[in-house]
Amino acid sequence: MRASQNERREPVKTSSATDLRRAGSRIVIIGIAAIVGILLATAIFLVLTLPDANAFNARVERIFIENGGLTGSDEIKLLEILAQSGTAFSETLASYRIIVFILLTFAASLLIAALVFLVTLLGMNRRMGEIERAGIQVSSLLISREEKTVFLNNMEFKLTDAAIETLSVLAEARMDEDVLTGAEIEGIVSGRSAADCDESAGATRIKRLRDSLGNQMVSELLVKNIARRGYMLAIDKDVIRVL
Amino acid sequence: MKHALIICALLCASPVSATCYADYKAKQDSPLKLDYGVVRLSDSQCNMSDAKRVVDRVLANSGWTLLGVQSVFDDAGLAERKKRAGENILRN
Repeated sequence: MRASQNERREPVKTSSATDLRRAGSRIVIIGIAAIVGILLATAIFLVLTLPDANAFNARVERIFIENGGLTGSDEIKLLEILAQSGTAFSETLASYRIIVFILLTFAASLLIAALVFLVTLLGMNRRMGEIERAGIQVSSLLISREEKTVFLNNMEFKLTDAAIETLSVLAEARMDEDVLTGAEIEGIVSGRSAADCDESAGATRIKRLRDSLGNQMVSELLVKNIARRGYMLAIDKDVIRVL
Repeated sequence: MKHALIICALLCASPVSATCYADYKAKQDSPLKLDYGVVRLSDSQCNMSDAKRVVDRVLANSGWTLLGVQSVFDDAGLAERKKRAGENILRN
């Protein structure tokens, strides 16, 4: 019973999955903010550090003022050419700046896309977990003989004595990785030798088990019939627990 | 001889009447253009502060910005500066 309570704590995980999603959206917001912040900081740094055209002109102007001898027309022409080439260089820098901006934008959008994909992946994983738990995939099978109850993915099913007996037999066979024929099932349940038993009697037990589990599709998938060999539970043997 | 003296007195007197000049440096922006030139001053303006005012006015008329007045000098100084910076540095 304690084990069953432990198993039933499973729904707590569901709320932790919600936490995960909340944490995920928080990560997205923080991540995008960080990316945009880095981009902005880099942009400001670029704007502040790259010199503009006037920096070159101002420097040439200062050279002109500070050197009293620079009065010849040739010398003045030379200084003007110096300033012009500086201006041309700063125009090149401006185009570099645009290229850097474009690359930064690309990098930022790639980072954002990667982040969004990562979070989407987390969400998908969570959804897959939900589907596994709620759907056909059996993640836990707990048989309680005393209560005549079976817990399938923590969903509780009341079964008849005969059905619980059949299920127990199948579960034990599954744990031994055996496949039982209808006659063998009938033999084990009734305590007779399998040779004395009718194949159809076992088949009837299987049919009754499936019927009492109700959902035909699920039980059809749970209790699998392997042609010419017999019946087995189509679940991982590790998830089976018999009380 | 007497005539010659009179002529000389007339001609040689004019430099002595101390024509005054100031040389300056100026610029124009976008694209940067630099200029060195000399402006003739009247006798009363023959000092740095007045020279600066006069040069500023002369340059403003032609769209230049004054960077600074270098010095104030006379004809002898003008000849020397012409030798270094070219004949046509006198702006007025």
